[in-house]
Amino acid sequence: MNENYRNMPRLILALCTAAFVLHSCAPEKEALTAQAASVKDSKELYAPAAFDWKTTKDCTLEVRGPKGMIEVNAPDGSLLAKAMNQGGSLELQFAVPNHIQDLSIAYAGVRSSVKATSRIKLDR
Amino acid sequence: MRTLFALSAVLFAALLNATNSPDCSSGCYQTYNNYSGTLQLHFNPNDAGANKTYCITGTFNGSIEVRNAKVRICGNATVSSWTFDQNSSLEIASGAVVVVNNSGGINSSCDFVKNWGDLTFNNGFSPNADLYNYSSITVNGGDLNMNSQAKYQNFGDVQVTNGSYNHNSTGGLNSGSLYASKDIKLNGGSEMTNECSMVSGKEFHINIAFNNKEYAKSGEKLYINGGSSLKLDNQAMMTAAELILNGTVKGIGSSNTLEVTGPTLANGGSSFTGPVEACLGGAISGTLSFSNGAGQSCANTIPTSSCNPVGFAPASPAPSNCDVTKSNGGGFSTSIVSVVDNCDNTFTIKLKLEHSGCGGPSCKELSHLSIEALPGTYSAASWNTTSGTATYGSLDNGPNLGASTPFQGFKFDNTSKIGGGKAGIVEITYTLTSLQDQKISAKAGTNAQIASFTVADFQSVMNCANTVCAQAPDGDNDGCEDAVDQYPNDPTRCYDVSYPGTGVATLAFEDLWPAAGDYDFNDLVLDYLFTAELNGSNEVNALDGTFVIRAFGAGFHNGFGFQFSNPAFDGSNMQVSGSEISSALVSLGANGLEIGQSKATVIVYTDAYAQMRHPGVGIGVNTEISAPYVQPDTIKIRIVFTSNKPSMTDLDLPNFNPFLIAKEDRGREIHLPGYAPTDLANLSYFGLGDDDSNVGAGRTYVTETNMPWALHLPVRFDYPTEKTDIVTAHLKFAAWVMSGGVSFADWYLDMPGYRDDSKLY
Repeated sequence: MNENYRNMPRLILALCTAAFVLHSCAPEKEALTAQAASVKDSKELYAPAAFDWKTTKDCTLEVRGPKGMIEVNAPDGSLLAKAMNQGGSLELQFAVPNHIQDLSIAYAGVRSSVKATSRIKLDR
Repeated sequence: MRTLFALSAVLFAALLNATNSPDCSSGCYQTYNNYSGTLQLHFNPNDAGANKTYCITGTFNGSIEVRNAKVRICGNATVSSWTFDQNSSLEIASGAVVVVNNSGGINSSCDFVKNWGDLTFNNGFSPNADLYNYSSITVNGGDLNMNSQAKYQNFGDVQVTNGSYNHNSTGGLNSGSLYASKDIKLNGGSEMTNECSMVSGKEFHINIAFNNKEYAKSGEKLYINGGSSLKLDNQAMMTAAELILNGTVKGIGSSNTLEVTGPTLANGGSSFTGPVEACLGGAISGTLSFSNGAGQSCANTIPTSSCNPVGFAPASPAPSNCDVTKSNGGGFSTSIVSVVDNCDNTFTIKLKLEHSGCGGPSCKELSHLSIEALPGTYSAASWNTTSGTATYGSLDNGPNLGASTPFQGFKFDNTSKIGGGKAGIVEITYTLTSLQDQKISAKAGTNAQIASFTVADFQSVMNCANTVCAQAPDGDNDGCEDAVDQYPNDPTRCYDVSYPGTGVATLAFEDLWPAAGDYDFNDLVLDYLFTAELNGSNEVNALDGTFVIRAFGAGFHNGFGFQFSNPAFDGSNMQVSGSEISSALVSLGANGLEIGQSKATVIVYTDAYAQMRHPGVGIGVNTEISAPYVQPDTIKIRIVFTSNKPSMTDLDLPNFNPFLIAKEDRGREIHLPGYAPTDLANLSYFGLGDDDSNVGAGRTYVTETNMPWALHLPVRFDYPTEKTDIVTAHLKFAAWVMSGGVSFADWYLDMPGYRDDSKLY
């Protein structure tokens, strides 16, 4: 088989994927799921060039307040990060697994629920 | 003040002197006037001189030895030493002044020592016979030890000026004043009732049922130890600088106060019960338990007396404008009266529910009072009617309060006699582990009548009344409060934290790089968990890495290591141990790090086959269902930071750089996509086979289609069986990849439709 023809499925898939990523406001998830479901070999997969393959997201928590321990928990209670603020401000960096969207932060006697965004500010 | 008090006690004793003190004008069988030398009064029981009274008058200077006789001192005596045994006794009459230089020798066979005079010891005093003091005893040179055979009966003034009072006596009554410049220790098995004053300059230890009917003070720490109790009887008080409570504080009668000006540490088994208030001015650690009328307040009025020189007056109330009040409707209003930070991650909240007294259809009687609180955050709810006759039937601790209450929390049910024309005030006190928004429902009839408070409302009251946590106890003084210190007795350690916090993470590799593999991602399946040990300044003392080889579907003998991404980590402050080196593939330095690396690099092991036995069947280990299972191998790496201790941010564990060393070739490193090779990687492999790296541009370990050779999962990964492409086992993996991580970011979880279990090991 001609080399160009042999690579044709991969090229088509790559073009489809690129089109999907570029036009992600389509009924994306369903379309993508259907498209991905047809892939039976990872050699046919094409990952966007900018894809970093990370399964966690980096979070930075900026805390300002009195002396006290700060604890960041996942919804199931597992402890994602912890630090002692000696009073004043403290910056705490940690990673949150991709499947976790909500965090619970205990500090200065108050427990707060926040979204797991890249930068979280907490003043007490 | 103490001098004034002592004077009062002496005056009191003087009254007793007038009525009880013997003298040397009568009753003396023989009198020694101005005697010097050794006065030996040794008799056998049937001797003519036995059981008689021998009086000392004028000036005495010498030693005294007594057996089967009584000595009565009426003059000024300087006693170099004395021995009293076998039915002997000593009386020191009113007006006598006795100085004893060596006080040993009050033996258990001695009947008693009674003092109406001025008795001074220049060393310690440890009588084994009963001691009755009606005037003044001063112990200058050591401790006063009341041994178990000896009764302690003090109606005067006992001063231990340079020592402790150690009480082992089964008969203890202090009706005068007792002062010890150091400690007072009421030891196990003894008895003590205080009817006047007992004061220690330092610590006060209670190991018995100590019955305090008047005034006691500890200058420093008060220990109420396990199984023991402090009974405060009818306007009695005890005060201390600090309290360590393992026992019980019991109130009897009314208006008793235990005042603690500094921190309180309440351990399990401690409690307050009966009519006693705990006026605790400092930080509180642990949980306080109150019952039968006991409570935390500073409201009593205890007048001063000859025994209690300080008395007790109520603390100044918090400024009235600290209250935050909201209307419930129906004549009810709710106020936050106080919010006290207990310095142990708990808060004591006091609410006031007040009814105006209005009546009619819009002002119905309260049927129940509900307080919103998150499940698991509240405890110790109590009701106190301070005005009117309001009552409740039962306390429902929830958290679900029934259909009529639109929130979770706790509820006082079947309430009556407040509302519906009946004015009244009820105070509700409870403990929370964290401040939170709370609704208060004063339900009357069908009206929920809810007042809503925010966290800011509670903080406002706390800040206004200055009931924030001032200074929490920190026993090892490491800047890490005891309440949160996992190592409260170790000033170098405060807490541990693990990465990942969700348990373990997994690294999954393909090992044919630079050629593409079969994408089963099981050529190495390795779980890891880091646990860091930190001090109170968030500096990492040590880092423990636990690595578990679960599987390797590989014919190659591969190793594994990792590098810290932080370029500042050159290893000069690290000491690494635990590496499993089974070949000469790598060279480690004296600090346990790999030689030749500009960034700190740890080799975990050099050959998976040396770590786990091949079962004799199949490719590798634990990737084929048909092959015998081999127990995973655990390797523990410990990294101690000897100086310049890093923070967790410095360590940057989420971005640590793990790599597989393939085919016993040190230069053939396989990293996660986008991660840099180490200094010892052979860069000539890049660009060969299916590799499409551009190292200079930061594009590494990916194919032309951006596929990787390694995956990093934030959970324990369920990996495909041998030669099973991951896309056919984890059914959302392809969608995740194709979407650039946007869709199915949780593809690795065990969710409906996410995986084909038959293709997972």
